[in-house]
Amino acid sequence: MPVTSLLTRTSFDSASLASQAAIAHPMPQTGRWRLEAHGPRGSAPWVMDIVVRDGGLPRVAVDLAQPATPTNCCDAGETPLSPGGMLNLNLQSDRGGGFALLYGATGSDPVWDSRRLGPGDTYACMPLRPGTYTVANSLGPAKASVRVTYPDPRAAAAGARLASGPAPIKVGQTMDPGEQTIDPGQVLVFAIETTAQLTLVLKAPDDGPQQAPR
Amino acid sequence: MSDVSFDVSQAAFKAVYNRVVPTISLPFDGSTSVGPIWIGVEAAIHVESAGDITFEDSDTFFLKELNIGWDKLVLKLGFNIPPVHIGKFCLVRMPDNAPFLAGECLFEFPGGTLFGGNPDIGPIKINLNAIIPYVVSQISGRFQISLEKDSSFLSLKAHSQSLAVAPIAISDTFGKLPLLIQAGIADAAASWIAVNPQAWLLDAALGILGFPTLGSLLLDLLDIGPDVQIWLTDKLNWSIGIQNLIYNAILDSVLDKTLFKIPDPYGFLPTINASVSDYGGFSDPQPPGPTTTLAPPHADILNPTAAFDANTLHIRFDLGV
Amino acid sequence: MADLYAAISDDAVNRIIESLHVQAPYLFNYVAPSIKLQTDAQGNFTGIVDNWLTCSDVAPDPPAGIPRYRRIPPFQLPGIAVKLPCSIQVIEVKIDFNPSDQVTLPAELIPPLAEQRFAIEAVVQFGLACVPAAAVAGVPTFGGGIPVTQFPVLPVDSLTCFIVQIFAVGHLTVDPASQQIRMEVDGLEILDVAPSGLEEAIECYLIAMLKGAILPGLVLALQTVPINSLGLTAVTPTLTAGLPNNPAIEQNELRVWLDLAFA
Repeated sequence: MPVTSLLTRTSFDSASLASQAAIAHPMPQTGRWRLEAHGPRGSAPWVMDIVVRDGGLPRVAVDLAQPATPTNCCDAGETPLSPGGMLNLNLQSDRGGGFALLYGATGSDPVWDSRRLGPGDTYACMPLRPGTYTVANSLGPAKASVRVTYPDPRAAAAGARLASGPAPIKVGQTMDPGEQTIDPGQVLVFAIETTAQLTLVLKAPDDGPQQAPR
Repeated sequence: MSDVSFDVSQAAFKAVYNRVVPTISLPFDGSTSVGPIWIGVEAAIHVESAGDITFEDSDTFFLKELNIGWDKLVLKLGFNIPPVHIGKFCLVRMPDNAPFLAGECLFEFPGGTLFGGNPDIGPIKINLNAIIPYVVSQISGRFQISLEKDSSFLSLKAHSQSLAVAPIAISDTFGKLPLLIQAGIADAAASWIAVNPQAWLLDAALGILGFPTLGSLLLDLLDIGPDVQIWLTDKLNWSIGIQNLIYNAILDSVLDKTLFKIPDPYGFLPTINASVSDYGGFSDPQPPGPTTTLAPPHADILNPTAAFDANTLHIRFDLGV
Repeated sequence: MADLYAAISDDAVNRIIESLHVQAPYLFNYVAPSIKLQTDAQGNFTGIVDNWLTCSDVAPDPPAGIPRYRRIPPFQLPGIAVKLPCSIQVIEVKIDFNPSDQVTLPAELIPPLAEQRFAIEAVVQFGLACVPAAAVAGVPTFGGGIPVTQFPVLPVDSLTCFIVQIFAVGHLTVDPASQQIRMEVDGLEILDVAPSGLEEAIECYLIAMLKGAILPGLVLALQTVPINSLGLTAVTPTLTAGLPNNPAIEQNELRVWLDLAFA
């Protein structure tokens, strides 16, 4: 499939990161943290140290598939994050299964597990396949429905452009808004306010007008 | 003074040269990559005739125009659509008036890449034979003559010293060329879609890129501009270097031509088929039957020269008698 | 300007003629052979073979398989019942194109050689058979009683020979319709035949023979020889019009200018 198959995903699960999705986690406390990264199913996990201190970066992006390489500054092997900044997790792979565990300087239990998102976390995904998706929280009652429009190329010819940019949804006891419509290329941004594991499933594909000349 | 002299006029020389200069159809091809597109040409030409011939000093002549005819002109196109990144933008940004990290992006979506692999479309072939009447090619050359003994002849030969092929030009095709290109692109798009049926993804990609059809995206990649003729001549001449391809195609054919063949040894009489009874006093061996062939008397050609002088080719030689 | 000009020098023509003497002597030696009678051991007549009698030997030997002589028919004189053998040998032929430098013309031909004229000097040796008296009176027989009139030609074994030196001057003519080029004789002189009346009569007879019989058949293919010499085919040559003399005899050369039509 010449057009990359990383863009044909039609089901998403925040506990099993894959392509077209990402998680952001704020880390306001200074200190030293250890991130245990789990990449695609079946691959070996790897670790990296994150130091939260003043003067750090506003965000640290981690591709769970690839062991991180040190970027700049500080001691080798450390990645600095500013206390107001966020950890960005993503997995550029077809095979899902991506998640991460965060450990403090002491204690053997993780202080954060990306498979259970909490208030302040953000989950984002970009469904491209036109159709109607059902959004649900496996750890709570909230539900929503999202429709991805079919991009009519002739409308593009007439000058219409697809909307781009984030489409925000709040996830609490309910999802707000409960229904929305986006264009392909837009990103759903879920602001988590409760414990959540979000899934997005294509319920009814939209194959567009038949025999449109392309 | 030489025994025998011949003077050939420029006009007669040109007529003789035009007898030997035409060639069979000579095929050639070439290609190159220009940004996201790959462009090639498959063509065939033949040499038709010589235009103006001017004699120069002693042994060279200048051919102002070697007329060639085009037998085939096929344009080949391939597309490597450049990757387009989508969805890579900032999802959470610190407000500008925040006390720290003001305006910084805290959560950037990694996005995805459209056409990130190496999706080749093509190569497709667009037959441009219909615009052959509008293709103008100019070839000129300088040739040197020499006399060479060639089994039983003394041949006057013309050797190519230098050959210059000008960039080709395409005069107004009255709309034919744009139509051919568009039809070719539409076919390419249709063929690709036929084997890649995920229409929604293509439509999404086209919608994001802002093109109504795959064909229009491919046309945009070609970057043809307002004048298709100029685009095509630019690509053929400067990207593919069609002049060099033409040069190499015809070089061997025009390299060496034989213009005149003087029998050497030169025979003074035709061969006579004789009745033996009409003759007597045969030298041994006696003819076995009632008829015999009397071999023609002959002489070697000595001191041959060939040189130009104003509008005349002078051929001179002596006879070895 | 003419498409093709061709010229050959008289020196080259004379050297070619000398070469032809050796390579094709049959062009210069015309013989009506006599015959030899063949008999068996008992003296009975068995047949006849040609006896090629000449005045001069043809030397050196021609190349393999090439004949020395061209057969001509024997001639008949009134009062002699049997035909007579003879030989005509052109010992030497020289041609001279204006201006004259190869042939010295006798005074009778009013030297110097005029413009556009050629001169020819030829030494010709004739051999005639002397007719034995027995062949004339009555009906003689030979050998086994065969009358001599039954033979195709008089059997002799020698010829009576004499040499004649001939000079001629002439020019070329072009038939306007057919463009055929021919030689025309302006004057002919046989040296020193006495009495002078006999000389004049023979000269007159020769000129008439040339004009009537020989020259009309001798068309000079001056248009096609240059074309063939250069290996050109499918080309139609014509004499270029508008020139003072075409073909021309000048500066010791025979020259021709041609226009070419390429098929």
